[in-house]
Amino acid sequence: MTQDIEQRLKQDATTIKTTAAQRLANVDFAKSIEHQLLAQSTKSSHSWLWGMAAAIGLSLMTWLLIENNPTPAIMEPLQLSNTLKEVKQLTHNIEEKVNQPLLKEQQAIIEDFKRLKSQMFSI
Amino acid sequence: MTEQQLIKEAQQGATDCFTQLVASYQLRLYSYLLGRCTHHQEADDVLQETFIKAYQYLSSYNPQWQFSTWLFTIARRTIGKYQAQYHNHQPIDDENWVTKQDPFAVDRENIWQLIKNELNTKSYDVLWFFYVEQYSIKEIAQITQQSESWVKTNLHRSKMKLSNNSALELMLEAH
Repeated sequence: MTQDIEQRLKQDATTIKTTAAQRLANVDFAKSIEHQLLAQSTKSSHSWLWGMAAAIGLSLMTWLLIENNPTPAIMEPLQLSNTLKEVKQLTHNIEEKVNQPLLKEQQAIIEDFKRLKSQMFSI
Repeated sequence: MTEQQLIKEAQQGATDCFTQLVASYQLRLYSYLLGRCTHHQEADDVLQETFIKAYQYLSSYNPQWQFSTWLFTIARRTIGKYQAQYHNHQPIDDENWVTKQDPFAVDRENIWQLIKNELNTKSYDVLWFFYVEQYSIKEIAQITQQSESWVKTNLHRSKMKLSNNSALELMLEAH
């Protein structure tokens, strides 16, 4: 590269630097950036507080849920036997409501067949 | 306070120390960006974004490198992302590149504008860092995230292209 070009590169860079300096004199970038950084740190400290509040709320909800719905492992023996009775009762009820009508229907069909059979033999 | 002390304080959250660092380097960074960007508004945005990113990632700064090379690395990446994001959607009106209303635009007679038009942005960066910032090949390789041999080759090719450029010849003759 010729000396002329090297010189021109440096010279024109100086022109750009002068333009940049003029622009920087008009706009206080350092101040503007500091404001943005402060705003960001305030925002991030707020989000930290929100996160903390959410965590506390979640812990409280979990604790309340555990308190109101004890698991079998932590039930008293009396409570456990009561629960078992309730479960048995529920099973019985379900069987009565679902299975019994089916059984009755089945019995009725068998009876019908028997009657038809006896009628056929009588003929 | 020395630069390293300012960096340490800023790493611990002292924004005023970081502002001092901004004040020290803003002219060098802004000059580079003003030449590299399409208009001064873009240079303003990229400069701000560069410093904000630098503050956010200050803990990752390796003191074995100059602070300025680290800042230029961030600036290069930021400008690349910025231009990819905006220029894909907003075509630049070439005639408005330099307007009379914009006193901070780099004029067309400037050799750096010619480099930007005739060569590519990587060559622009290598030439700027070598001739203006006077960084070593190793430092330019660090900033551009390329090998030292790549930087040497790029520099050589850019010089050759400029030497054979007719527009530059005319520019030098007119000068």
